[in-house]
Parts: sequence; C-alpha cells; structure tokens
Amino acid sequence: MAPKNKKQKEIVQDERLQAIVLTDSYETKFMPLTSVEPRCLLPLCNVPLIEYTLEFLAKAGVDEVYLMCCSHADKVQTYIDGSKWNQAGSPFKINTIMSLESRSVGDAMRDLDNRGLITGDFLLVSGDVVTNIQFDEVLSAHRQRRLIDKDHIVTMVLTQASPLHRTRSQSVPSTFILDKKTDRCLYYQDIPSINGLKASISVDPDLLEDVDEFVIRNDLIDCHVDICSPLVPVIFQENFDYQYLRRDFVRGTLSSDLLKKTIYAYITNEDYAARVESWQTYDAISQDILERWCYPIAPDSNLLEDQSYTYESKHIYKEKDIRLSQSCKIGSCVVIGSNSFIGDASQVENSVIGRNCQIGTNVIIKNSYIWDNSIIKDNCQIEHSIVASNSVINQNVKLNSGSVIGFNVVIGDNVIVAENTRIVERPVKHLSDSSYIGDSLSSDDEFYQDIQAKRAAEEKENIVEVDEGAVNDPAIVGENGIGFAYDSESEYGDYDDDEVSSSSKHYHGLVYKLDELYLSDTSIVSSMPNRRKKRRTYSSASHATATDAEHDYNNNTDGEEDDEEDFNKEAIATVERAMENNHDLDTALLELNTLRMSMNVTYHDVRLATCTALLQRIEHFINTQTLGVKDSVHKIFGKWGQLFKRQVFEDEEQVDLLNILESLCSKLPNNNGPTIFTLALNDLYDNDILDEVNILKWWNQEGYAGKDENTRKVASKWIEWLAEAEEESDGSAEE
Amino acid sequence: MSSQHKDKADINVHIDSVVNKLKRRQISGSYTVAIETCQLLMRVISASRWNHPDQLIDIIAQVGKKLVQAQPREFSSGNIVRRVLSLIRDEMNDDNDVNNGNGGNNNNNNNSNYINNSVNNENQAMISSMFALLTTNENKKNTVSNQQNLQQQKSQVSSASAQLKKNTHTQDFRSIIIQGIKELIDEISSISENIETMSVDLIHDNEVLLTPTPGSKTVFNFLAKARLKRKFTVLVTECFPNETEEAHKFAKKLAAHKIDTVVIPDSTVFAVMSRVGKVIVGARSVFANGGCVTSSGVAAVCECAKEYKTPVFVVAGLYKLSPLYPFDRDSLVEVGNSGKVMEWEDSQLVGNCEVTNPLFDYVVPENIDIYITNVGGFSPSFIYRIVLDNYKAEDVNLE
Amino acid sequence: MSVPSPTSKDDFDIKETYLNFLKEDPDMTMPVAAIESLVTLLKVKQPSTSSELQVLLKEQTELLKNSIPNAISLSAGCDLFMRFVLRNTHLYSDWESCKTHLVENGQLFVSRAKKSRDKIAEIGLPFIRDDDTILIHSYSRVVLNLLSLAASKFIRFRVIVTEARPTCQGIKMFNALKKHNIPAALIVDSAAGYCIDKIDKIFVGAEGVAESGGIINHIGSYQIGVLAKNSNKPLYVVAESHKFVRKFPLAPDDLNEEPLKFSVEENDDINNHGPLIDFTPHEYITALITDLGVLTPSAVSEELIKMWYD
Repeated sequence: MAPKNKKQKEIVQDERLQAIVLTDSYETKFMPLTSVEPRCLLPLCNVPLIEYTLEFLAKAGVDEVYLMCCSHADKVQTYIDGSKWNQAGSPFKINTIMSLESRSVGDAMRDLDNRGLITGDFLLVSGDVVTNIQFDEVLSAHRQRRLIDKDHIVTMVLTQASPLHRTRSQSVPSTFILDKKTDRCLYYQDIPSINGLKASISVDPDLLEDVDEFVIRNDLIDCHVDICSPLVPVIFQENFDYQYLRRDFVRGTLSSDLLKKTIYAYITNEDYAARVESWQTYDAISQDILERWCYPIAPDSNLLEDQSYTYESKHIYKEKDIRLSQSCKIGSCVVIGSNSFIGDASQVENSVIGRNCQIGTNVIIKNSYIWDNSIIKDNCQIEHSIVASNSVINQNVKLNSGSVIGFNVVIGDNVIVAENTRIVERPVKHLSDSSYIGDSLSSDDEFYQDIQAKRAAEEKENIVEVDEGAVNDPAIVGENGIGFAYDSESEYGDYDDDEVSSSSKHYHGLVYKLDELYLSDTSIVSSMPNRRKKRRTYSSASHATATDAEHDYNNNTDGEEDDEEDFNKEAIATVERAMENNHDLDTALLELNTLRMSMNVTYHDVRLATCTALLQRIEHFINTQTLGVKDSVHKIFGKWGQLFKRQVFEDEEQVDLLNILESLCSKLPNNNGPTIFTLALNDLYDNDILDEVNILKWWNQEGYAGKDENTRKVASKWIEWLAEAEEESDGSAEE
Repeated sequence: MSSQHKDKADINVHIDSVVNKLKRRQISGSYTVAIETCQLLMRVISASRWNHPDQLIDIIAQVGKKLVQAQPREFSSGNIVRRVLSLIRDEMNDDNDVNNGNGGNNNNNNNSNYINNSVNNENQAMISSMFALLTTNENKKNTVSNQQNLQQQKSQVSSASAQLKKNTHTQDFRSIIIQGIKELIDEISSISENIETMSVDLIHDNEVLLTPTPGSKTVFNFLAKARLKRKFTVLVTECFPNETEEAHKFAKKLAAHKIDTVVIPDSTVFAVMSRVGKVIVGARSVFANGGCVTSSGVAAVCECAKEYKTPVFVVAGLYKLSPLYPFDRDSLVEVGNSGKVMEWEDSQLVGNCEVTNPLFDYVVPENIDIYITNVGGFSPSFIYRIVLDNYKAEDVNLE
Repeated sequence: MSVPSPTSKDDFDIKETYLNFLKEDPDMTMPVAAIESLVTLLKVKQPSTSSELQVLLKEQTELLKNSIPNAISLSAGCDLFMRFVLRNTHLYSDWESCKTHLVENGQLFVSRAKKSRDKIAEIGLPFIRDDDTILIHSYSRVVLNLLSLAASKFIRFRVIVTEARPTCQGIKMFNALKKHNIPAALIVDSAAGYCIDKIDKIFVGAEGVAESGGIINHIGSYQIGVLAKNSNKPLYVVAESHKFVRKFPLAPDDLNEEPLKFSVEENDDINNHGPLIDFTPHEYITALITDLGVLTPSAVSEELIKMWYD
C-alpha cells in the first residue's frame, strides 16, 4: 500500500467508510447465462457489471470494500485479483469474502456479522448497481438524520421515476410508504405487477400512528444502495428467517414493536441510480448508459484499463481497430468493441456489440446485445435479444424478441427462434426440488451448485440417465446447431396457477412490454388508495418467507390470513429451505425449535409441518420426473427423516408420527401415497426413528391404521417382513 | 536499488491515482487539471531516475499520454506536459550551447543534430524544417560534408563530455526543471492578474457587454477589474442546462461589484446582439488554428455576433493554448448528462426521444476577433506563432 | 540513377534533364525533379569555385524556370536548393563538402520526398472520419497517399472526384482510387456546386504554396474554394513543405499564365483553351496538411521566413 494511503487512514480512522458488495443476487433471473458466469461479471455495455458498482464506490470515497461472493465465487475472486482494484493505485482496499453457504441476502448478512468486520456505518450495495449519485450528499443526509433520530439505522437511496419507467424493475416493483415530511419509511411492500390482476398493499394502521401525512409511492427505483448502521447485520442475526433486505428486513424492522428502529429514504431525482436485476432492466440500463443518462458513466469513460472507446455524435461509441464496411448503417446508440467487423448493408441500432465480433452482410441488429467473440452470419435479423459470448448465429436466422442465446451456442441456418426463447449450450438440469417453486427462493448459484452436486452424485451412483436434451434440439437450434432450449417455465416449476408464471415471463423477458404492463400498473395505482382504507390490516412481521409469499399472494392481497396456520407455513418453509439449501440438520432443527417456542405450539404441529414439507418435496421430485418414487423418498427421508429424531421422543409420539404420515400420504394424489408411505416407513425404521415395537403397535391400533385401505394393503407386506425380521434377529441374538 | 524500486512503485501509484481521479472527473476544470498536472510532474521528475534528459523526456511523455487519455477532452494536462517537455529541451540546448561554446548562431542546426543524435529518428528531424529534404542525417555519416562532419564530431565530443558532466549535474538539471515548473504554476495562478490589466483599455464607458460563459473565473476578474475605472452593463446568458446555476451566481457576484447585470435567456441572444458592444468569452482551450473550445452555446452567440459585426473577445490563459489542431468537433466536445436537459424519470420521453447534451462548443477562428491572454492580445491567425514559441514541434504528438 | 545523364559539359540541357526525371519516375514531384536536375548539373559541370557554383546555379535555374511553362512548382524546388547551397556556403564557407554531399545523395532526396508524403498521410489521417464524403479536385499524389492510408485503416469514406479539365487528371485519380478500393464518383468540374452540399470536406493538392498561404494548383481549385467557403465546408490543402514558394500572388494574373485568347476563328482547338493553373487565396483555405504538421495559411510565411532569413 502506498504510504499516502496509510497516512490518510491514520487521519481519518473514524471516518473510514466500509462497503459491502453483494455479488450475488440469490435469484435466477439471469439464467441460463448465470449457470456459466457469475452475474456480476456479465457484461453491461461491454464492461463487467461489478465495475460499475466498484466505480461508484471509488467515487463515493469508500475506504474498504468487502465483496460477498457466493455463486462462482472463484471466478469473482480471480477477476478481482486481476483487476485494477487490486493494484496499488486502487482507491480502496478490496477483499473478497467467500460466503459460499449463503443462500440469501439474509445469510450473507449473518455471515458478515459472524465475521465481525463491520466497524461503523457501512454502505450496502448489490454488485449490479449502476449509478452516478453524489454519495457525499447521501452520506451527510444520513449523518444529519442520525443526529436527530438515534434509532435511525438505514438510509435507502431511491430514485424517482414514473411507475412505468423502463428502468424500473417490473418484477419487483416496490411500493414505499413514506412520511411526507421526513422521508421516513413507514412501510414497504413489493407489488407483483401481474397482468390485469389487481394488486394492493395492506398496512397496519398502527404503523401510521403519529404520522401527519404520508405518501404511498409506486414511482421509485430501488437500486439497493443503503447506508446501514452496524446494527443491521445484528438484526439479521437475530431474525434468522430474514431472507430479503426489503421484503423481510425492512418490513420486519418497520413493523416490529420491539425494535423501534427507523429507516429513511433518500430520494433523488437528479442523479441516476438503478440496478440490473432482470433482463428488462439490463436492457433499459444499457440504453440509459448509451444515452448518457448516467454520465459520467458512459462507454467512453473506459472503465476498463484496456478500453479505448470514443464518442461520436448520435451516441455512437467505437473502440479502436473496428472495421465497418462501406455500406453498413450504424444508427444511434451503438457500442462497437475493438476488432469487430460489420459487413455490407448491415444495420445496427440501439445495440451493443462486443469485441472480436463478426457480423456478416445484410444483418439487422436492433436493441440487442452481442457479447464478445460472437459470429453472426449473413442475412440474420436480431431484435431485442442477447447473444452471449462465443456463440455463432448462422445464415438467415431470425431471433425474435426476448431471445437469449447462451455462451458457445451455435444456431443453424435458417432457424427462426421464437419469442422469449432461451438457449444454452449444455442443458441446465432443473432440479425438481421445491426450491424452484418460486423463483424468488432459488438462487443463481444454487442452480449451479446443485447441478454440480447432482452430477457428482450421478457419477457416484453410476446411474446413467438420459437427459431430456442429451441430443441437440434441432427444432430449436437447427440442423447443425449446438444448444438446447432452456425452459424458462420450469424455473417456476409446474407450480401454482398459470397466472403467476405467465406474468413472470413478462418480468423476465428482455422486452419491455409497455402496453400490457400499463394496464396492470394503473390498476395498482388506482386500486391502492381505496383498498388501503377498506382492507383489514395484516402485518407480516416475521413470517414473510418466500414460499409463504408465493403460496399466498392471493390470500395475502385479500388480506385474510389465518393466524393459526402461521406456524404451519413457517415451519414448512423452514424445512423446505433447509432441504433446498442443504443446511445441516442442526440448523434446521434449531430453527424449527425456535419457531415452535415462539409460536407456542406442540411437537405434534412440528411433526405435521415437517412431514408436509418432506412429502411436498418428494412429490415435486416425482412430478418433475427428476427422480423415481423410490429414489426420491429415499433421498428425502434418508437424510431429512433425521429431523424427527428430535421431534419424536415417546412411544406415543412415534405412533402419532405414523398417524400423521399415513394420513398425509393418503391424501397425496396419483395413488403414490401408499408406496411413499411404505418407503418412508422403511427409511424411518432404518434410521432408528421408529421402533419395530411402536410400528407394530400402530399397526395393530384400533380404528386409525385401517382407515385407508390402499395404504394398509401396500404396507402390510412390509409389516410382515418387519415382523419376520424381528423374529430372525431375535433368533440370531439367541444364537 | 530496492529503494529505487520503491520510489518508482510509489510514483507509479501516484500517477495511477491521479489518472483515475481524472477519469472519474474528481479532478476537472482546466485550471485544476493544469495545477494537478504540474504537481504530478514535479513529483515524477524528482522521483524518477534518469541519466540523460532524453530519458526524462520519455518518462514525462509517457505520463502525459496517460493523463491525456484519462480525460481526452481536457487539453490543459497535455498542454502542461508539452510545456514542461519544451522546458527540458530548451535546457538541454542551453547546456549544449554552453558546452559547444559556439554561441547561438547555429542554434537551429545544432538543435536538429541533437535530435538526430538522441532520437535518431529521421521523421522527427524532418518535421523541424523545410530543409529537412536536403540536410544530412546520422545514417549517412560518410557523406556528410566536412564542415558538418566537424560539427558533428564536435557535438559528439561535447555531448560525451556533457554526458559526464551531466551525470554529476543531473541534480542541477533536475532542480532547474522543477524550478521551471514552479514558475509555470505561478504563471497559471497569476493569469487573471495579467489579463485584468488589459481590461481597462478594452472596455469603454457605458458599453454593453455580453458574456455567454458565466462559468469562467477569468471573465469575472476581467470585468471586475474593468469596473474600477469604467461603468458598463453586462448581459449574462443563462446557459441552460449545464451552467444555469453558475450563471445566476455569476450575475449575483457581478451585481455585488456594482456592475449593471442583466440575465438573459439563451434564446434572446440574437435579439439583443444589435445593442451589444463586445462579446466576452472565456475559453476552455485554444487551438493552433485559432479556434477554441468553450461552453456550449457560445458558437451560436459568436455566430450572432458575426452577423452584427460585434467584436468577440476571447480571454484565456496561456496554459489553455494547445498545439493540437482541432480535427473534428466530436473529438473536442464532451457530451454530458442527458438528464440535465430532460427529466429522466419521465418514462414517456426516455427511450422514445434522443437527447444530447454537449457541454462544450467549438468556435471557429473566423468568428473570433481577438484573443486576450496573459502575454498580450493576439489575432486568431497569430495563435500558431504563440504555439511555436511555447511548444516544441516534436512534442505535439506525445506518442 | 536511371536518368541518362549527359556526360559532356556542353551537352547538358537542364530542361531535358528535368523533363526526363519527371518522365522516368511518375511519383516524382516537380520541385524534386528540379532539385535532382540541379544536382545532376553540379555533377556534370563540376564548378571549381564557390562563385562559379553560384553563377552556374543562378543561370541554370533561370533557364529552367523560363523554359517550362508552368514553373511555379519547380521554382520552389530551385529556390530551396539555391537557398540551401547559399546558406551552407555563406554560413560555414564550406561549399565543397556541401557540393559533394549533394551530388552523392541525389537519390536520397527522392526517397525523402516520398517519405514526407507518408508523413503527411499520417498527420492528415485524423481529418478523415467515419462516414465522410470527401471532394477532391484533380490528381495529387499526396492526396492519394493520404486517402489510401485511410482506406487501409478501414475508415469508411467515399470520394467525389472532379474530372479536372482540360488535363483530365481527375480521371487518373478516379481510377487510382478504385484501385485502392475507395468508393469514388467522378463528376464534371461544373458539377462541383451541385455536390457541395453532399460533402463533408474538400482535399486538394498543390503545385505550389504561396507565402500568403494561398495555393497554386490545377485550374478549378479556386472556384471550388469559393464554393466551399460559401457553404461552410472546410478545404484542406495537402502539400509537402518543399512546395512552399516565395511568391506573393494576389490575383490569378500574377501566375504568368498565358493570357486568354479571344478569337472569332471557327476552327479553334476547343480542348486547348485557357489556363492550366489558378491561384486560390488563403482565405479560402482552412488548413494546410504538410510534413511540418497542420499549418494555418499564415504559418506558411513563418516557415519561409525561417528558411530565408534564419
């Protein structure tokens, strides 16, 4: 380190500003590309996303940066190690923190707290922020408020933009209720803008007490730039079910009667701040950068050392050594990286072309993003699409709006790629575990890791499985193409009603469909005020887990919530989370236990919930045909059956468990119930959770066990075997 | 040795941090950039190791290149670097002359020989004079005329002895250059004073002046100084969108100096031009052809002035004078934040219409009547001459 | 040297030598040919004293200038040469070594002249921007050199070439451009006004650059200059510095062109009418791209003064 820096540090010891960068979003919105590259290294205008964030931090005068890495952490680390930020001239000290286990922002924050790195107020940003905000103003505003309000723990930076602004996230359009005078945040809620479907927010009137005037704002871009006090990670630690910064933490903190902490918003309408959190915002922010809304961040500021972009009028940015043929037409808002070639009569507008790209003749590229080293042959038409690095698009191909062509994919001649198609080089296997019930729960990296894990498992078990896409899909990529369709639907599972998934498509598509969204958004706006008055209140203090949210959006919005079911839901969610994130048993048990105590319920309820969760997951496996009935039961009960070890103590409780299991199984569809039940029984027995004695006791029990004919029929064989085995073992013991 | 490495590493770190600050616009504005450049160069000169001034020239040119690339449209950093290079070259020549004992009459020739000697680059020698076509060069030593041969030998001998001397006198040389840079800093910071002195002669009583560059400190000082002896009215254009705030501040400051001040919208410039006696413009950079880059909107004002034959005065410090030629407008004009022109939050407009917000304007030499600098007033067509006086042709291209 | 140089002193004909040089090497410009001729002269005549040398040079230069009809360009070369010889003899009173140097390095000048064209191309490269339409007039080696360099750097531009009557040098240029893969359009001289709005800039070469910064060039340059000025298009002159000539023409008449012939004869040769060169005053010129850098017209006199009065 330079001596100068040292000196500075000594002087401003107290003022040392730390920044935490969450490089992972714990979402899958950029799948399938994020199965190969970490999200924060995806290029935006030919610059890795993380550079924009780091540039902002450098400008903000941050002294220490901690990057919380999760998915592809090694790649992020390698990138940072080789970047200018790691060199002596860097304006801050940069550290990468491998937080491989974290599965959500909450986990990352807890990990952070465990590491004890935070010394004072810090800046929390996600690794995909693009902003030119004057941070010193934000910081001083934060400090001033801090003087007035001792309980002030977070300042959120929000940018003003009309509700339908292209840069505003359509997938998580957030609504803030703010104190009109002080910008104190009173309440927060995501409003899923579902096509034509009315959405609303419901607010606890208690929250609005002592507030003179408040505003409900649906016109803010939440770029996830927060100044947090050191208390924030602690709160996350205390509430280990907090997953999301906004949905859980902000809402939880605001509606908690105990904490009495306040959160303020800093609203700017002069500066630019936005977050690349979906393809839609990717597109919008790219265009914003090209149109210089984010000046001085523009391609010609050459964030990377080796870049050489120069600006030309009409927002055209060219790097050196590009080759344009005489008759090609370069429209406005275009970036072309070095060593790229554009053939005769080709047209490019509102697009970004990376380095070393070859674009043939008569090609039309509109509103698209062609990453490095791609080849696009003659007569192609590409609109509103993304072509990732090293891919080849052969002649006469048409990419319709919303197409995402993954890394190294080859599209054959004359192929027409349908709207919103995503194509990957190698099939990304969709694990059918319940994590994909909702996109919100799963994380980019999880996919990756699970795939790895699964592959490893496969090899180990020497099971040869024929993938759905082991052969290239000629219908999608053409005769000589390489690639598979990535089924974006499966991300949401075959879950729930079609409404959710069809609307999700819109969120995740690259194309910003104003018209359709317009309808829905106005309906939100118009429905909001009266609903607020009418609706009974429902404060979701600590139980706003993702599944819960997914499950019950409709319920939620209706505002009718059965409090007694809270525990059940909560517990199911906990177990599911544990399963999908591969938590260790102890953690899951601890969480369940805490829940049990906080909600004051019996072990019976815990068992009920656990069983439900396990069966749900098994069912999911079966439904998505990832695993057979036997395998899935074995996988789930083999491991997670252990949970019962600390839920079942007495003999009666073992019987109770069996009763629960049996009744749940009998309710399962597809007639799998009895089989599952028997298999589960076997596993539980093997794991010493159930004693033979108790099983037999249950079996011979009056009334209960005989209820379901089918179950009894299937299970009877096993019971017989059990009885025999007992005798044998008795016999052998005697010998 | 290791300490040397450390020095080098240190200075590189420092250079990088200045370059990065320039890139982030944490250092901006010609004055600040010029001063920062001077200070950086002083550090570089005192920290880097070199045995021959040529090496120093190389080092500085490299630093200059980096600085220029960091903010390609801020020319003052490049100007300062070139000034310093020219300082070094002059110093080298002086040394040589003294050593040769030949006096000044063959200065020119000597100079070109020296360049041949040191850089051994024919192209560079060629640039220096029309005679290049006919003169000899190093590669043809055998055929060099006796006289020149003699001279060559002399200069070689002397440069060899100078080499020796220089090794002992590097320190002297270093301090001379650093002294030179200090003088340069003084010059830059006292520019206003020198320009001010001319103001009384140029501004008449009861005159109406118009200034489209309220952001310029030099213009303000110029007017404030003139007010001491003259009474006049100043029209200030509003400069929407980038300098509106500054225009208002500027007007306030002028009013505080008891100058009649009128703020006018940019759109009325043509309407009021018939009553304006002089247009006073502050320049960001002045180019060898006599054109200059200044705030956006000025080109239009100058065009109006030309229509009414109103004289246009450009005030600029010498350090803003660039030896470069303004090849095309795009490479001179920085395009700023579109959000200043239009609200970004308006989703009806964003993405549906194109917005460009140029921060600068290029004013062609024909539309400028006189440049007022700290070394006097010059016609635009004479600027090339000032360039020749202050810069060396070899340094124009820092590559 | 491929030029058949006459061996005997009496046979030497400066004009013939000069014309031979031009014929032999199409890339050679007139001033360089003049210099080469004078070098050959020295080689043949072998003057023995400094004054003899001077008298000889003066006499032969006059002869050459007078014998060639369009002598502006070559006189630039002669003047440069004369000045160089004089300067060296006066300053260092060492004319002999100077002479040997000149005689022995005849070919060097030619290659240097070519090199200076490359230098100019490099200096002028930034003038050509992506998607430019450039108007050029007549044939010029320097301009061609610049454009071909730009084309080799994959800059997109297209060129409109005037035919340049009566010599029709423009057609030669047109063909040369096509050979370099530069899209070109050929127009008649009178279509210049028609095209002026479609173009971004104008490049012309020069036979000579006058002290004022104005240029002497193929007939038709002047009118293009006026057009350019009128429609605010930049006109750049691309010329080597050895074409700078110590002349100060004020009007086309000062070029010693044959006066216009007014005639009522019926069978007059229609192709051989009028002057071949004209003078474009400096106010029509935006800048000169030379091997000394990009100069404003007023900087030309500076360079000339440097040479003559240094």
